[in-house]
Amino acid sequence: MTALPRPASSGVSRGIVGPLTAGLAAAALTELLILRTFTRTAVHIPALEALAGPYEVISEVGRFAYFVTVVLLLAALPVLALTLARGDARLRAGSVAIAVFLGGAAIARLNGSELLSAAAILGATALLAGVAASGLRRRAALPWTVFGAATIAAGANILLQQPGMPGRGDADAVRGFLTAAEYLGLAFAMMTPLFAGGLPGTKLQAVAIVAGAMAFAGMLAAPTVRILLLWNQGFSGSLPAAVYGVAAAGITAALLALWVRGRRAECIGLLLVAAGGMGLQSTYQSALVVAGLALVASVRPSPGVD
Amino acid sequence: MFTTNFAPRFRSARLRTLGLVAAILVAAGALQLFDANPAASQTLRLTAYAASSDPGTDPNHKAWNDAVPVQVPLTAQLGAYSAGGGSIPTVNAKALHVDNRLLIRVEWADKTQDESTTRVQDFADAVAVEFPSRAATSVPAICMGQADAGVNIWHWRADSQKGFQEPAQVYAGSQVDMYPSRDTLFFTARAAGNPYANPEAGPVQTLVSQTFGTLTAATVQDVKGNGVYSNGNWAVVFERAYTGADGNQAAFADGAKTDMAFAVWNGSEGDRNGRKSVSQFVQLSIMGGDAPGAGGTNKLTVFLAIGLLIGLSGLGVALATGGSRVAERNR
Repeated sequence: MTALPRPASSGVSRGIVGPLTAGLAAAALTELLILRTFTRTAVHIPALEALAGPYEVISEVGRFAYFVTVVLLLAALPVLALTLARGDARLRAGSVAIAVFLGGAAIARLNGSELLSAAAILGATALLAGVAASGLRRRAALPWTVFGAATIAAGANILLQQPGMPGRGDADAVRGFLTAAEYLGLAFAMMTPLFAGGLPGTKLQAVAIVAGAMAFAGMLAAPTVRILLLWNQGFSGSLPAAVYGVAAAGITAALLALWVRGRRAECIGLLLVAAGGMGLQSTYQSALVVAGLALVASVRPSPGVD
Repeated sequence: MFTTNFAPRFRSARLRTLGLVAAILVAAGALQLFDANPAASQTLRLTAYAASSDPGTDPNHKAWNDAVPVQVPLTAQLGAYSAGGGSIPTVNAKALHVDNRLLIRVEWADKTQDESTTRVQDFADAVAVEFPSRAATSVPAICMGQADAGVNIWHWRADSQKGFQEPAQVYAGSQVDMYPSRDTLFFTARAAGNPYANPEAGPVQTLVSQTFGTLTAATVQDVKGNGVYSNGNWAVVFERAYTGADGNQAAFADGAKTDMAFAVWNGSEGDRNGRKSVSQFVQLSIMGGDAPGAGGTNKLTVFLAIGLLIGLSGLGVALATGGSRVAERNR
């Protein structure tokens, strides 16, 4: 696999988008680690009541990180939309996708049509995945195409439950889509090194293998990990533990490769997508994914480079 | 000279950055302080509309025909330890409300009707629904709640509904000595208040919990329930007044939203305790209006949603494939 360095983004890492999205990724990771992981794991500590004080303080810090991320998302999404709007036709489509997403999120917040909101958010995410893939060569684009399909399959669970939808309430169809989403989501994670232009150096490969081994061991030994994976990333955790280990190793390798090759904006974009997860959890998590995809899309690829 | 020109500009840029960071932190703090969350949950939504007539606890009452069902996926129990289960893949859930009472109907396919637990190797079919307690300050951990966010569980069991079976019904030819007294004290479990030894208390227990190991029966047992088995399906209805007995129990109101989760035990598969099929939290929304009917919705909204989804994702596919081809040619 060719491992040519891809030039850093033109204009993206400069100006406001770079610091804004870097801050967003830092806040989102803090929130993910404290609120969505620590507080949900700590409830399993025996006699937690004795530690209620520290637990509540840490929970509040996690909630604060969540609200900081929300504020940064509210700032970053319009900025990313404006950045994309200044580009060519394909990037302008990404700008439209962000606008549609914001509309869908507003409908959800205002208790409007759940069907319309879900369709808008899923469609916008799939379109942005297409925009992210569009500037890349076929091999590098493949993970984003698969991610778009995973998003639709995962969200079909909600869409097919809405009154008036064709095939509504078909339990087999609901489970079929959820199974397809599981396979596609894992395939995306495993394929991300293709987007990064190949695996990183030997030492970083070892780091990725350690991350994969930890995920494998966690899936095998601590069922709480499966629950966290379901709540945080939308995976049911129903496949063998080794598959999740390989997927974790794949996405870690891709993140490391992007970082050391100077493709920081794309690294942050992939990180945001991973923090947001797959399918429809909350408009917050969908917004993380949309911001991540928009950031990847906003990086102008160099012709002939993966 | 250079430093005198540069320093104020640098200080100004640094002040701007600090001001921006401070503004972000203040805005986040204000949102947290006033609990003003701009994001919304996108999980499955079960809507309880006003019932056209009072169905009571009859799962086959015609009022349920107008309720809007949702299919809730279940998985094996994967909590603090892997307890197994997972033989029931989905439940069909409906909800209604009438006269400030909430009714939940849960239906699932089960080839066997397991109502007896007389033999030690037998386990009963059962279903439970879980809500955050009224006093919960945030969405609780789905596994028995957490210190600052307890849960209220309504647990229906087929054996509790069926009542006691004579041992001779289970063990053919068995002989059972007659107890000399019918005094409750001779039935120690019943005397101790064990709900499974007191079937007259009803088939539903309402339980409260604030983390593992704290699950206990609520002081007031005010949830009614009834299950009917037919054609390989269980249908169970839970019914309770909106207002719970205390802060440990769930509370409901017209226009309110809360979370709820489902668990099903398949007795013939050995399900009991933690071994069961469980769902994630779904959203329960209690609407003031009448049920629109099972298929009722605005057709324009459906067309718009389908069009939006197909249009946007189709454009995404076209961009992904077409754009990649261009990138290949430019190689």
